[in-house]
Amino acid sequence: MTDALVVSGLTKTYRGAGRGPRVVAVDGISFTLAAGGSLGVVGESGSGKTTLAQMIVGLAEPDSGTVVIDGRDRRDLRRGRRARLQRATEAQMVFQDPYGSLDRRLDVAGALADTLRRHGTPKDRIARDVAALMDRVGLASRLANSRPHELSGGQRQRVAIAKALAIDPTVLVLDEAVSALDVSVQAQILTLLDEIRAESGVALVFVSHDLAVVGQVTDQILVMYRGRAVETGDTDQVLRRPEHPYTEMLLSSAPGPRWQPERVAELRAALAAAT
Amino acid sequence: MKGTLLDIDNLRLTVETHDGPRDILRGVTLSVARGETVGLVGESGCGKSTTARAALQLLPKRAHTTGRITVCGTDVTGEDGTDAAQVHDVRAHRAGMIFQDPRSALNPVRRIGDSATERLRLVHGLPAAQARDRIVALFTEVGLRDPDRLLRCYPHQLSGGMLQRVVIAAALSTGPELLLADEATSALDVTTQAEVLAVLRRLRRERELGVLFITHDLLLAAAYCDRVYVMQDGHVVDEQPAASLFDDPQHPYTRHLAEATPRLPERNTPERHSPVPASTQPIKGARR
Repeated sequence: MTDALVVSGLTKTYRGAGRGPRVVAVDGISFTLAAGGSLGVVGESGSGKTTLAQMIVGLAEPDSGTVVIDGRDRRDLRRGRRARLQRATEAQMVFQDPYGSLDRRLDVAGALADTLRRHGTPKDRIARDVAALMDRVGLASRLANSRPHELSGGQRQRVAIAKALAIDPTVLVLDEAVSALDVSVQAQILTLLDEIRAESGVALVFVSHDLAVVGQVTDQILVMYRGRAVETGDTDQVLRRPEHPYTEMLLSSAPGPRWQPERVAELRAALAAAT
Repeated sequence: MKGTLLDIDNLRLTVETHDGPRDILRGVTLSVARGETVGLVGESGCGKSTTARAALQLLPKRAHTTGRITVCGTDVTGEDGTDAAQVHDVRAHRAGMIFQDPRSALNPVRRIGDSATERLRLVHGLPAAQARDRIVALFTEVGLRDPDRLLRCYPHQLSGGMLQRVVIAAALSTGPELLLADEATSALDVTTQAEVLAVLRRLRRERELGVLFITHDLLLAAAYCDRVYVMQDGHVVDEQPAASLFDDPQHPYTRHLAEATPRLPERNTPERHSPVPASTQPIKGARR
Protein backbone atom coordinates (compact mmCIF):
# COMPACT_ATOMS: atom_id res chain seq x y z
CA MET A 1 0.00 0.00 0.00
CA THR A 2 1.32 3.47 -0.80
CA ASP A 3 1.60 5.92 2.05
CA ALA A 4 -1.00 8.68 2.09
CA LEU A 5 1.61 11.40 2.54
CA VAL A 6 5.35 11.32 1.96
CA VAL A 7 7.30 14.48 2.73
CA SER A 8 11.02 14.50 1.96
CA GLY A 9 13.68 17.11 2.50
CA LEU A 10 11.18 19.98 2.58
CA THR A 11 12.94 23.34 2.88
CA LYS A 12 11.68 26.91 2.72
CA THR A 13 13.46 30.20 3.29
CA TYR A 14 12.04 33.70 3.43
CA ARG A 15 13.76 36.93 2.64
CA GLY A 16 15.05 38.51 5.82
CA ALA A 17 14.45 42.08 6.91
CA GLY A 18 16.41 44.68 4.94
CA ARG A 19 19.68 43.27 3.66
CA GLY A 20 19.76 40.60 6.32
CA PRO A 21 20.35 36.94 5.52
CA ARG A 22 17.47 34.74 4.38
CA VAL A 23 15.43 33.27 7.20
CA VAL A 24 15.19 29.49 7.15
CA ALA A 25 11.56 28.70 8.08
CA VAL A 26 11.61 24.97 7.36
CA ASP A 27 14.87 23.08 7.11
CA GLY A 28 14.88 19.61 5.57
CA ILE A 29 11.74 18.04 7.07
CA SER A 30 10.96 14.44 6.07
CA PHE A 31 8.25 12.05 7.26
CA THR A 32 5.69 9.57 6.00
CA LEU A 33 2.10 9.18 7.09
CA ALA A 34 -0.09 6.16 6.34
CA ALA A 35 -3.78 6.37 5.41
CA GLY A 36 -5.76 6.75 8.64
CA GLY A 37 -2.64 7.87 10.50
CA SER A 38 -2.24 11.11 12.43
CA LEU A 39 0.79 13.24 12.98
CA GLY A 40 1.11 16.07 15.47
CA VAL A 41 3.43 18.94 14.60
CA VAL A 42 4.43 20.95 17.67
CA GLY A 43 6.79 23.80 18.47
CA GLU A 44 6.81 27.43 19.57
CA SER A 45 5.64 30.24 17.32
CA GLY A 46 8.24 30.80 14.64
CA SER A 47 9.36 27.17 14.68
CA GLY A 48 8.10 26.70 11.12
CA LYS A 49 5.09 24.48 11.79
CA THR A 50 2.59 26.62 9.90
CA THR A 51 4.95 27.01 6.91
CA LEU A 52 5.27 23.21 6.83
CA ALA A 53 1.46 22.87 6.86
CA GLN A 54 1.14 25.41 4.06
CA MET A 55 3.64 23.56 1.90
CA ILE A 56 1.78 20.27 2.37
CA VAL A 57 -1.49 21.71 1.07
CA GLY A 58 0.16 23.90 -1.56
CA LEU A 59 -0.30 27.37 -0.03
CA ALA A 60 3.46 27.87 0.04
CA GLU A 61 6.02 26.66 -2.44
CA PRO A 62 9.04 24.78 -1.10
CA ASP A 63 12.54 25.88 -2.14
CA SER A 64 13.46 22.22 -2.29
CA GLY A 65 12.06 18.86 -1.27
CA THR A 66 8.90 17.05 -2.29
CA VAL A 67 5.39 16.40 -1.02
CA VAL A 68 3.87 13.21 -2.44
CA ILE A 69 0.23 12.40 -1.71
CA ASP A 70 -1.24 9.06 -2.82
CA GLY A 71 1.84 8.55 -4.96
CA ARG A 72 1.42 11.84 -6.83
CA ASP A 73 3.99 14.63 -6.57
CA ARG A 74 2.34 17.91 -5.57
CA ARG A 75 4.77 19.83 -7.78
CA ASP A 76 3.17 18.33 -10.86
CA LEU A 77 1.22 21.48 -11.60
CA ARG A 78 -0.84 20.48 -14.62
CA ARG A 79 -3.14 23.29 -15.55
CA GLY A 80 -6.88 23.22 -15.93
CA ARG A 81 -9.93 22.73 -13.81
CA ARG A 82 -9.69 19.01 -13.61
CA ALA A 83 -6.10 18.95 -12.35
CA ARG A 84 -6.91 21.68 -9.84
CA LEU A 85 -9.89 19.80 -8.43
CA GLN A 86 -7.78 16.65 -8.31
CA ARG A 87 -5.18 18.48 -6.20
CA ALA A 88 -7.91 19.72 -3.90
CA THR A 89 -9.07 16.17 -3.19
CA GLU A 90 -5.54 15.26 -2.19
CA ALA A 91 -5.18 17.71 0.68
CA GLN A 92 -7.56 20.02 2.55
CA MET A 93 -6.83 22.45 5.34
CA VAL A 94 -8.75 23.70 8.37
CA PHE A 95 -7.55 26.95 9.96
CA GLN A 96 -7.70 28.37 13.48
CA ASP A 97 -10.25 31.00 12.49
CA PRO A 98 -13.00 29.41 10.41
CA TYR A 99 -14.39 32.90 9.74
CA GLY A 100 -11.67 33.45 7.17
CA SER A 101 -12.39 30.25 5.26
CA LEU A 102 -16.18 30.58 5.04
CA ASP A 103 -18.04 32.82 2.61
CA ARG A 104 -20.11 35.02 4.86
CA ARG A 105 -22.87 35.29 2.26
CA LEU A 106 -23.47 31.55 2.08
CA ASP A 107 -25.46 29.64 4.66
CA VAL A 108 -24.27 26.23 5.87
CA ALA A 109 -26.18 24.22 3.27
CA GLY A 110 -25.15 26.64 0.54
CA ALA A 111 -21.46 26.44 1.39
CA LEU A 112 -21.48 22.64 1.45
CA ALA A 113 -23.57 22.40 -1.74
CA ASP A 114 -21.16 24.75 -3.49
CA THR A 115 -18.18 22.55 -2.68
CA LEU A 116 -20.03 19.37 -3.70
CA ARG A 117 -21.19 20.90 -6.98
CA ARG A 118 -17.68 22.00 -7.93
CA HIS A 119 -16.45 18.49 -7.41
CA GLY A 120 -19.09 16.99 -9.67
CA THR A 121 -21.77 15.67 -7.34
CA PRO A 122 -24.93 15.21 -9.46
CA LYS A 123 -27.65 17.79 -8.73
CA ASP A 124 -30.18 15.28 -7.43
CA ARG A 125 -27.72 13.97 -4.84
CA ILE A 126 -26.54 17.29 -3.41
CA ALA A 127 -29.33 17.83 -0.88
CA ARG A 128 -28.88 14.31 0.46
CA ASP A 129 -25.10 14.66 0.67
CA VAL A 130 -25.36 18.02 2.44
CA ALA A 131 -27.64 16.50 5.07
CA ALA A 132 -25.28 13.55 5.47
CA LEU A 133 -22.24 15.81 5.91
CA MET A 134 -23.99 17.97 8.49
CA ASP A 135 -25.00 14.86 10.36
CA ARG A 136 -21.45 13.51 10.21
CA VAL A 137 -19.92 16.59 11.84
CA GLY A 138 -22.73 16.93 14.36
CA LEU A 139 -24.47 20.03 13.01
CA ALA A 140 -28.23 20.10 13.69
CA SER A 141 -30.31 20.25 10.51
CA ARG A 142 -32.03 23.41 11.75
CA LEU A 143 -28.70 25.22 11.19
CA ALA A 144 -28.79 24.51 7.43
CA ASN A 145 -29.90 28.06 6.66
CA SER A 146 -27.65 29.88 9.15
CA ARG A 147 -24.86 32.10 7.92
CA PRO A 148 -21.40 32.08 9.55
CA HIS A 149 -22.08 35.10 11.78
CA GLU A 150 -25.11 33.37 13.26
CA LEU A 151 -23.07 30.37 14.37
CA SER A 152 -20.89 29.83 17.44
CA GLY A 153 -17.13 29.29 17.08
CA GLY A 154 -17.51 25.54 17.51
CA GLN A 155 -20.32 25.35 14.95
CA ARG A 156 -18.27 27.36 12.45
CA GLN A 157 -15.33 24.99 12.90
CA ARG A 158 -17.66 22.06 12.25
CA VAL A 159 -18.77 23.70 8.99
CA ALA A 160 -15.13 24.20 7.99
CA ILE A 161 -14.41 20.52 8.73
CA ALA A 162 -17.55 19.42 6.84
CA LYS A 163 -16.47 21.48 3.82
CA ALA A 164 -13.03 19.88 3.89
CA LEU A 165 -14.54 16.40 4.19
CA ALA A 166 -17.10 17.00 1.42
CA ILE A 167 -14.55 16.04 -1.20
CA ASP A 168 -13.14 13.08 0.70
CA PRO A 169 -9.51 14.26 0.92
CA THR A 170 -6.56 11.92 1.40
CA VAL A 171 -4.88 14.28 3.86
CA LEU A 172 -6.53 16.77 6.22
CA VAL A 173 -4.21 19.42 7.64
CA LEU A 174 -5.47 21.23 10.74
CA ASP A 175 -3.55 24.35 11.75
CA GLU A 176 -4.38 25.27 15.37
CA ALA A 177 -7.93 24.22 14.50
CA VAL A 178 -9.16 23.88 18.09
CA SER A 179 -6.98 26.52 19.78
CA ALA A 180 -9.62 29.25 19.84
CA LEU A 181 -12.39 27.03 21.20
CA ASP A 182 -13.60 26.60 24.77
CA VAL A 183 -12.50 23.31 26.33
CA SER A 184 -15.88 21.61 26.20
CA VAL A 185 -16.32 22.50 22.51
CA GLN A 186 -12.70 21.58 21.87
CA ALA A 187 -13.30 18.15 23.42
CA GLN A 188 -16.27 17.59 21.08
CA ILE A 189 -14.28 18.55 17.99
CA LEU A 190 -11.38 16.28 19.02
CA THR A 191 -13.79 13.37 19.44
CA LEU A 192 -15.27 14.19 16.03
CA LEU A 193 -11.81 14.12 14.42
CA ASP A 194 -11.11 10.70 15.93
CA GLU A 195 -14.41 9.35 14.57
CA ILE A 196 -13.81 10.79 11.12
CA ARG A 197 -10.33 9.33 10.95
CA ALA A 198 -11.59 5.88 11.97
CA GLU A 199 -14.49 5.99 9.48
CA SER A 200 -12.90 7.52 6.41
CA GLY A 201 -9.24 6.64 6.72
CA VAL A 202 -8.21 10.26 6.12
CA ALA A 203 -4.67 11.02 7.27
CA LEU A 204 -4.47 13.92 9.75
CA VAL A 205 -1.65 16.42 10.12
CA PHE A 206 -2.44 18.25 13.34
CA VAL A 207 -0.43 21.43 13.88
CA SER A 208 -0.72 22.82 17.40
CA HIS A 209 1.19 24.53 20.16
CA ASP A 210 -0.85 22.53 22.69
CA LEU A 211 0.99 19.33 23.60
CA ALA A 212 -1.90 17.88 25.60
CA VAL A 213 -4.27 18.22 22.64
CA VAL A 214 -1.71 16.66 20.32
CA GLY A 215 -1.30 13.86 22.86
CA GLN A 216 -5.00 13.16 22.62
CA VAL A 217 -5.51 13.04 18.83
CA THR A 218 -2.26 11.88 17.27
CA ASP A 219 -0.20 8.67 17.09
CA GLN A 220 3.00 10.21 15.77
CA ILE A 221 4.66 13.46 16.71
CA LEU A 222 7.20 15.79 15.11
CA VAL A 223 8.77 18.44 17.32
CA MET A 224 10.01 21.47 15.41
CA TYR A 225 12.64 23.94 16.60
CA ARG A 226 14.00 26.64 14.31
CA GLY A 227 12.68 24.87 11.22
CA ARG A 228 14.17 21.48 12.06
CA ALA A 229 12.63 18.28 13.35
CA VAL A 230 14.48 17.83 16.63
CA GLU A 231 12.47 14.83 17.77
CA THR A 232 10.02 12.44 16.10
CA GLY A 233 8.33 9.27 17.22
CA ASP A 234 5.33 7.72 18.89
CA THR A 235 3.37 10.59 20.46
CA ASP A 236 2.71 8.90 23.78
CA GLN A 237 6.31 7.79 24.12
CA VAL A 238 7.77 11.21 23.29
CA LEU A 239 5.44 12.94 25.74
CA ARG A 240 6.38 10.52 28.51
CA ARG A 241 10.09 10.27 27.76
CA PRO A 242 11.30 13.26 25.75
CA GLU A 243 14.88 12.89 24.55
CA HIS A 244 15.71 16.29 23.05
CA PRO A 245 16.25 19.21 25.47
CA TYR A 246 13.82 21.31 23.42
CA THR A 247 11.00 18.79 23.84
CA GLU A 248 11.89 18.65 27.52
CA MET A 249 11.53 22.43 27.75
CA LEU A 250 8.17 22.44 25.94
CA LEU A 251 6.82 19.74 28.24
CA SER A 252 8.09 21.44 31.38
CA SER A 253 6.37 24.66 30.28
CA ALA A 254 2.92 23.08 30.07
CA PRO A 255 0.99 23.79 33.29
CA GLY A 256 0.13 20.71 35.29
CA PRO A 257 0.83 19.03 38.61
CA ARG A 258 4.22 20.01 40.13
CA TRP A 259 4.62 22.78 37.53
CA GLN A 260 7.70 24.92 38.12
CA PRO A 261 7.69 27.85 35.71
CA GLU A 262 11.03 28.96 37.19
CA ARG A 263 12.68 25.88 35.63
CA VAL A 264 11.83 26.90 32.07
CA ALA A 265 14.31 29.77 31.99
CA GLU A 266 17.05 27.36 33.14
CA LEU A 267 16.07 24.82 30.48
CA ARG A 268 16.11 27.51 27.81
CA ALA A 269 19.60 28.55 28.86
CA ALA A 270 20.72 24.91 28.77
CA LEU A 271 19.19 24.54 25.29
CA ALA A 272 20.93 27.66 24.03
CA ALA A 273 24.23 26.31 25.34
CA ALA A 274 23.66 22.94 23.66
CA THR A 275 22.72 24.24 20.20
CA MET B 1 -11.67 40.86 56.76
CA LYS B 2 -8.05 41.60 57.49
CA GLY B 3 -5.85 42.16 54.46
CA THR B 4 -8.66 41.83 51.92
CA LEU B 5 -7.75 43.81 48.80
CA LEU B 6 -10.71 42.95 46.62
CA ASP B 7 -14.11 42.18 48.03
CA ILE B 8 -17.03 41.71 45.66
CA ASP B 9 -20.38 41.01 47.25
CA ASN B 10 -23.42 39.84 45.30
CA LEU B 11 -22.52 41.81 42.18
CA ARG B 12 -25.23 41.90 39.54
CA LEU B 13 -24.78 43.57 36.20
CA THR B 14 -27.33 44.21 33.50
CA VAL B 15 -26.68 45.69 30.07
CA GLU B 16 -29.32 47.43 27.99
CA THR B 17 -29.50 45.88 24.53
CA HIS B 18 -31.82 46.22 21.54
CA ASP B 19 -33.77 43.25 22.84
CA GLY B 20 -34.15 44.72 26.31
CA PRO B 21 -31.99 44.28 29.43
CA ARG B 22 -29.57 41.35 29.50
CA ASP B 23 -28.12 39.90 32.70
CA ILE B 24 -24.33 39.51 32.46
CA LEU B 25 -23.52 38.94 36.12
CA ARG B 26 -26.10 37.32 38.37
CA GLY B 27 -24.69 37.58 41.87
CA VAL B 28 -20.90 37.30 41.93
CA THR B 29 -19.23 37.11 45.33
CA LEU B 30 -15.47 36.75 45.62
CA SER B 31 -12.46 38.08 47.49
CA VAL B 32 -8.70 38.39 47.10
CA ALA B 33 -6.43 38.80 50.12
CA ARG B 34 -2.99 40.38 50.27
CA GLY B 35 -0.28 38.05 48.94
CA GLU B 36 -2.83 35.69 47.44
CA THR B 37 -3.23 34.58 43.82
CA VAL B 38 -6.87 33.84 43.13
CA GLY B 39 -8.00 32.22 39.88
CA LEU B 40 -11.20 33.06 38.08
CA VAL B 41 -11.95 30.47 35.42
CA GLY B 42 -14.79 29.71 33.06
CA GLU B 43 -15.63 29.51 29.37
CA SER B 44 -16.05 32.49 27.05
CA GLY B 45 -19.01 34.67 27.88
CA CYS B 46 -19.31 33.53 31.51
CA GLY B 47 -18.60 37.03 32.84
CA LYS B 48 -15.05 36.67 34.20
CA SER B 49 -13.64 39.67 32.32
CA THR B 50 -16.69 41.77 33.14
CA THR B 51 -16.14 41.03 36.82
CA ALA B 52 -12.58 42.39 36.66
CA ARG B 53 -13.65 45.44 34.69
CA ALA B 54 -16.41 46.14 37.20
CA ALA B 55 -13.81 46.13 39.99
CA LEU B 56 -12.10 49.11 38.35
CA GLN B 57 -15.37 50.60 37.12
CA LEU B 58 -14.31 50.19 33.51
CA LEU B 59 -17.80 49.49 32.27
CA PRO B 60 -19.87 50.82 29.39
CA LYS B 61 -22.47 53.44 30.26
CA ARG B 62 -25.25 51.04 29.34
CA ALA B 63 -24.24 48.75 32.20
CA HIS B 64 -26.21 48.89 35.42
CA THR B 65 -24.75 47.29 38.52
CA THR B 66 -26.01 46.43 41.98
CA GLY B 67 -24.01 44.94 44.82
CA ARG B 68 -20.87 46.06 46.57
CA ILE B 69 -17.27 46.17 45.31
CA THR B 70 -14.51 47.17 47.71
CA VAL B 71 -11.01 47.66 46.30
CA CYS B 72 -8.25 48.20 48.87
CA GLY B 73 -10.79 49.48 51.36
CA THR B 74 -12.56 51.87 49.00
CA ASP B 75 -16.13 51.16 47.92
CA VAL B 76 -15.95 51.86 44.19
CA THR B 77 -19.65 51.40 43.45
CA GLY B 78 -20.41 54.78 45.01
CA GLU B 79 -22.98 53.31 47.39
CA ASP B 80 -21.67 55.01 50.52
CA GLY B 81 -20.89 58.35 48.97
CA THR B 82 -17.63 57.52 47.15
CA ASP B 83 -16.91 60.18 44.59
CA ALA B 84 -15.20 59.89 41.23
CA ALA B 85 -11.91 61.15 42.69
CA GLN B 86 -11.69 58.18 45.04
CA VAL B 87 -12.35 55.71 42.22
CA HIS B 88 -9.68 57.51 40.23
CA ASP B 89 -7.29 57.17 43.16
CA VAL B 90 -7.89 53.40 43.29
CA ARG B 91 -7.15 53.06 39.58
CA ALA B 92 -4.11 55.35 39.72
CA HIS B 93 -2.41 54.05 42.86
CA ARG B 94 -3.95 50.93 44.36
CA ALA B 95 -4.86 48.53 41.55
CA GLY B 96 -3.38 47.65 38.16
CA MET B 97 -4.73 45.62 35.29
CA ILE B 98 -3.01 43.55 32.61
CA PHE B 99 -4.88 42.45 29.50
CA GLN B 100 -4.39 39.60 27.05
CA ASP B 101 -2.97 41.57 24.15
CA PRO B 102 -0.03 43.81 25.12
CA ARG B 103 -0.05 45.35 21.65
CA SER B 104 -3.45 46.90 22.28
CA ALA B 105 -2.22 48.29 25.61
CA LEU B 106 0.70 50.13 24.02
CA ASN B 107 0.45 52.90 21.47
CA PRO B 108 2.11 51.54 18.28
CA VAL B 109 3.53 54.91 17.18
CA ARG B 110 5.07 55.87 20.52
CA ARG B 111 8.30 54.59 21.99
CA ILE B 112 8.15 51.96 24.74
CA GLY B 113 9.67 54.45 27.18
CA ASP B 114 6.89 56.99 26.61
CA SER B 115 4.10 54.48 27.12
CA ALA B 116 5.71 52.74 30.09
CA THR B 117 6.40 55.94 32.04
CA GLU B 118 3.10 57.62 31.17
CA ARG B 119 1.30 56.79 34.41
CA LEU B 120 4.26 57.87 36.52
CA ARG B 121 4.58 61.20 34.73
CA LEU B 122 0.93 62.12 34.25
CA VAL B 123 -0.78 60.59 37.25
CA HIS B 124 1.99 60.74 39.83
CA GLY B 125 3.58 63.88 38.44
CA LEU B 126 7.09 62.44 38.52
CA PRO B 127 9.77 64.28 36.52
CA ALA B 128 10.67 62.43 33.31
CA ALA B 129 14.18 61.48 34.50
CA GLN B 130 12.90 59.94 37.74
CA ALA B 131 10.08 58.08 35.95
CA ARG B 132 12.67 56.75 33.54
CA ASP B 133 14.95 55.51 36.32
CA ARG B 134 12.09 53.75 38.03
CA ILE B 135 10.99 51.99 34.81
CA VAL B 136 14.57 50.95 34.01
CA ALA B 137 14.80 49.32 37.44
CA LEU B 138 11.47 47.56 36.89
CA PHE B 139 12.46 46.36 33.41
CA THR B 140 15.44 44.64 34.98
CA GLU B 141 13.18 43.14 37.65
CA VAL B 142 10.83 41.58 35.09
CA GLY B 143 13.81 40.08 33.27
CA LEU B 144 14.17 42.46 30.33
CA ARG B 145 17.76 42.89 29.20
CA ASP B 146 19.27 46.15 27.99
CA PRO B 147 16.45 48.37 29.37
CA ASP B 148 17.98 51.62 28.07
CA ARG B 149 17.80 50.41 24.49
CA LEU B 150 14.25 49.08 25.01
CA LEU B 151 12.98 52.51 26.06
CA ARG B 152 13.78 53.79 22.58
CA CYS B 153 12.12 50.85 20.75
CA TYR B 154 8.64 50.79 19.22
CA PRO B 155 6.19 48.01 20.15
CA HIS B 156 6.49 46.26 16.75
CA GLN B 157 10.20 45.70 17.38
CA LEU B 158 9.56 43.50 20.41
CA SER B 159 8.13 40.00 20.77
CA GLY B 160 4.84 39.32 22.54
CA GLY B 161 6.60 37.98 25.63
CA MET B 162 8.80 41.07 25.90
CA LEU B 163 5.83 43.40 25.44
CA GLN B 164 3.86 41.61 28.14
CA ARG B 165 6.84 42.11 30.49
CA VAL B 166 6.84 45.80 29.57
CA VAL B 167 3.13 46.01 30.39
CA ILE B 168 3.66 44.22 33.71
CA ALA B 169 6.49 46.62 34.58
CA ALA B 170 4.28 49.60 33.70
CA ALA B 171 1.40 48.21 35.78
CA LEU B 172 3.71 47.74 38.78
CA SER B 173 5.40 51.13 38.40
CA THR B 174 2.80 52.92 40.50
CA GLY B 175 3.15 50.42 43.34
CA PRO B 176 -0.30 48.81 43.27
CA GLU B 177 -1.42 46.38 45.96
CA LEU B 178 -3.87 44.54 43.73
CA LEU B 179 -3.23 43.23 40.23
CA LEU B 180 -6.02 42.11 37.90
CA ALA B 181 -4.60 39.86 35.17
CA ASP B 182 -7.13 39.12 32.43
CA GLU B 183 -5.83 36.24 30.26
CA ALA B 184 -2.48 37.99 30.65
CA THR B 185 -0.43 35.11 29.21
CA SER B 186 -2.99 33.36 26.99
CA ALA B 187 -1.58 34.71 23.73
CA LEU B 188 1.99 33.67 24.55
CA ASP B 189 3.82 30.43 23.77
CA VAL B 190 3.70 27.98 26.68
CA THR B 191 7.41 28.46 27.22
CA THR B 192 7.12 32.26 27.30
CA GLN B 193 4.01 31.98 29.47
CA ALA B 194 5.97 29.97 32.03
CA GLU B 195 8.80 32.50 32.04
CA VAL B 196 6.48 35.49 32.42
CA LEU B 197 4.50 33.79 35.19
CA ALA B 198 7.70 32.88 37.03
CA VAL B 199 8.51 36.60 37.08
CA LEU B 200 5.00 37.54 38.19
CA ARG B 201 5.08 34.96 40.98
CA ARG B 202 8.38 36.29 42.32
CA LEU B 203 7.11 39.89 42.23
CA ARG B 204 3.89 38.86 43.93
CA ARG B 205 5.90 37.33 46.79
CA GLU B 206 8.31 40.24 47.11
CA ARG B 207 5.60 42.88 47.08
CA GLU B 208 2.86 40.90 48.76
CA LEU B 209 0.51 41.63 45.89
CA GLY B 210 -3.00 40.29 45.67
CA VAL B 211 -3.63 38.89 42.18
CA LEU B 212 -6.94 38.08 40.53
CA PHE B 213 -5.84 35.73 37.77
CA ILE B 214 -8.45 35.33 35.03
CA THR B 215 -7.95 32.45 32.62
CA HIS B 216 -9.85 29.95 30.50
CA ASP B 217 -7.10 27.40 31.20
CA LEU B 218 -8.11 25.20 34.12
CA LEU B 219 -4.73 23.47 34.27
CA LEU B 220 -2.95 26.80 34.48
CA ALA B 221 -5.27 28.05 37.23
CA ALA B 222 -4.73 24.82 39.17
CA ALA B 223 -0.95 25.05 38.81
CA TYR B 224 -0.50 28.76 39.41
CA CYS B 225 -3.14 29.94 41.87
CA ASP B 226 -3.77 29.40 45.56
CA ARG B 227 -7.55 29.35 45.30
CA VAL B 228 -9.88 29.22 42.28
CA TYR B 229 -13.40 30.43 41.58
CA VAL B 230 -15.31 28.79 38.72
CA MET B 231 -17.81 30.93 36.84
CA GLN B 232 -20.65 29.82 34.62
CA ASP B 233 -23.24 32.02 32.99
CA GLY B 234 -22.76 35.01 35.31
CA HIS B 235 -22.62 32.97 38.51
CA VAL B 236 -19.72 31.84 40.65
CA VAL B 237 -20.65 28.17 40.84
CA ASP B 238 -17.63 26.80 42.69
CA GLU B 239 -14.74 27.82 44.92
CA GLN B 240 -11.84 25.46 45.49
CA PRO B 241 -8.27 25.35 46.75
CA ALA B 242 -6.28 25.13 43.50
CA ALA B 243 -4.79 21.78 44.50
CA SER B 244 -8.16 20.02 44.57
CA LEU B 245 -9.55 21.52 41.36
CA PHE B 246 -8.73 18.42 39.31
CA ASP B 247 -8.39 15.82 42.03
CA ASP B 248 -11.63 16.53 43.82
CA PRO B 249 -13.95 18.83 41.83
CA GLN B 250 -17.09 19.57 43.83
CA HIS B 251 -19.49 21.21 41.42
CA PRO B 252 -20.72 19.25 38.35
CA TYR B 253 -19.62 22.11 36.06
CA THR B 254 -16.08 22.09 37.49
CA ARG B 255 -15.99 18.34 36.96
CA HIS B 256 -17.22 18.81 33.38
CA LEU B 257 -14.47 21.38 32.66
CA ALA B 258 -11.82 19.20 34.30
CA GLU B 259 -12.83 16.19 32.22
CA ALA B 260 -12.91 18.18 28.98
CA THR B 261 -9.39 19.54 29.55
CA PRO B 262 -6.78 17.44 27.73
CA ARG B 263 -3.91 16.48 30.01
CA LEU B 264 -0.40 15.35 29.29
CA PRO B 265 0.52 11.81 30.31
CA GLU B 266 2.60 11.51 33.48
CA ARG B 267 6.29 11.86 32.77
CA ASN B 268 8.53 8.82 32.88
CA THR B 269 5.66 6.37 33.23
CA PRO B 270 5.09 3.33 31.00
CA GLU B 271 3.47 4.03 27.63
CA ARG B 272 -0.24 3.45 27.23
CA HIS B 273 0.52 1.07 24.37
CA SER B 274 3.95 -0.32 23.79
CA PRO B 275 5.44 0.99 20.54
CA VAL B 276 7.43 -2.22 20.12
CA PRO B 277 5.41 -5.45 19.73
CA ALA B 278 5.65 -7.39 22.98
CA SER B 279 7.10 -10.48 21.31
CA THR B 280 10.18 -8.61 20.07
CA GLN B 281 11.02 -7.05 23.42
CA PRO B 282 13.95 -8.59 25.24
CA ILE B 283 12.89 -10.71 28.15
CA LYS B 284 14.26 -9.53 31.45
CA GLY B 285 16.95 -11.74 32.83
CA ALA B 286 17.29 -13.66 29.58
CA ARG B 287 20.80 -14.59 28.60
CA ARG B 288 22.21 -12.58 25.71
